[in-house]
Amino acid sequence: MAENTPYIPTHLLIPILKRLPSKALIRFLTVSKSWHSLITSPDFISSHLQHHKSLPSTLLNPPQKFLPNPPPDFYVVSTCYNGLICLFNSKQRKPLLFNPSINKFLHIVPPPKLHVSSFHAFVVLGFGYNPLNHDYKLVLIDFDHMFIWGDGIPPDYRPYAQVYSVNGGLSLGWKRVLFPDNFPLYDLSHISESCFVNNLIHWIVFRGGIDYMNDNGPGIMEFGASILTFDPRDDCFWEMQLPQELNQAIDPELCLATIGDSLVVVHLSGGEELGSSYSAIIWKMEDYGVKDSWNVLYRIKLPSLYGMNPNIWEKEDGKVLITTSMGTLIVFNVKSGSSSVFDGEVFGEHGYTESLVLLDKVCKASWLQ
Amino acid sequence: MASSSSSSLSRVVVKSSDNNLFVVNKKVASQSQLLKQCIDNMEEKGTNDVILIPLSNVTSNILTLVLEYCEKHADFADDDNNNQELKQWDHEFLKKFDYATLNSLTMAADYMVTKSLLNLCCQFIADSIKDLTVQQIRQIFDIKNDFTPQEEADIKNENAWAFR
Repeated sequence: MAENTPYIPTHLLIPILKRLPSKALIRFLTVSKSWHSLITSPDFISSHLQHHKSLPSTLLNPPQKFLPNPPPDFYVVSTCYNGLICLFNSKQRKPLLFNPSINKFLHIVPPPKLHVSSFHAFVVLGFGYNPLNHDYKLVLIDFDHMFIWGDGIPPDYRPYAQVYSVNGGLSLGWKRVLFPDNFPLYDLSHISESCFVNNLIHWIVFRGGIDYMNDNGPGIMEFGASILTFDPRDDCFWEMQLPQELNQAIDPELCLATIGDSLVVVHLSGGEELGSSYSAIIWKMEDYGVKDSWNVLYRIKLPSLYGMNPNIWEKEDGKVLITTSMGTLIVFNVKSGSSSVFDGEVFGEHGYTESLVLLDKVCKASWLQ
Repeated sequence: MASSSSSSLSRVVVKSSDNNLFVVNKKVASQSQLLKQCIDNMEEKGTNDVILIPLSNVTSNILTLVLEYCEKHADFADDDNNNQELKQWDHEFLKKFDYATLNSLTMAADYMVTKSLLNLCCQFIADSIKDLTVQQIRQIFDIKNDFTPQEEADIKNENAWAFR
């Protein structure tokens, strides 16, 4: 071979390094200053992400497994996107972006003031991505959930939304966004995590309340479950219809999820028609945005009542895997219609892609300063 | 690929940086976009002479390997990249080489625009370095550590989990 060993030029180092798992790249930050700046550069982070997104996603171990000291009191509020998970501390009202594959957090300074200041204020978060400028966005909606159905909600207590851009950071801060004028948003699901799919953030919501716009004085509006969407590209909310059969479903029964790139809704019920104690019916929106394309994909008997996590995998061998909020994994056999609880260590928090996202924002080696 | 001209070359001669000549048939040469482009250009000009393509960046040793790869892959259609037999052959082919050869082969695949070989080399190198220590990486890629001990320790401490 050649006398003088040839060494790879930088432009060829990128296609090699982008194929490495995040953990190896974190170690290789210490190879040299030039490797450090290559690995932490936004362009490299993006190439690495694109490569890993083209690979099949994996089950994510519980965040605790990555962390020597998991942040206490934080819970997951959104599906994982680009390897990022959005967590929220409901006591301190603090959002947090977490990339488990590099074990880095980005603390988000909460809005200076919540709209609903009462003791009963409830906060729901959403997390999404704007592909036009590679920005991550958080949407925080707060409302007072003491106003139960029938009481109506005075306008001042209606859900109030604020959006935060990670690229904009503190200089832009939180900005109010309005709900569509005629959308009687009454409550948001306390159970279902928000779900980012097809470039939109989705929440399970409930419409209804008092119609103050009625010419004949306030009237009670029809109650119904629905989907609220938020587009991080233009900061607009829209409503999307659930299958008609689910219009009257109540909060703990519904959960948003994804299968591949499709939006699905899991409907948990007593399951009398299945002759078992509990069941989950999984509805899939075959053509995104087309109301009539909601179809029942699976009817699954459950050995016990589980909250569902937004993770559903269809495997090639005719099995469907569903993670639950209890950390268990349900294995449903499509052919035989039987389901069982997978007994093992698989936690399966989310469909998960390795990424270095945030590394350019939170890496603070002393020599760089 | 079909040229409007009547001329059609069946073989080309490729010259390595150390001045060795390799006669390569067109189908094999076409695995390299660089060689294919040269052939297409000549055919468009309507020349019937055997053309000589000098590759100033590739030694005979490495060129032999690239051509061995091209010969094997020329037997398979473009959409056969997932063919199990071919994948096995690719793996056995690269397994024989040390890092210096792999590096040279990667650079030659890049220079000769042989995309499938370039991807293959990058994946193979990535797979084989992912569990190496930082010290081993510096040796393989001939990199001088320009961190002070303190700077290196700081990054390590900040990411201690990745070093366990």
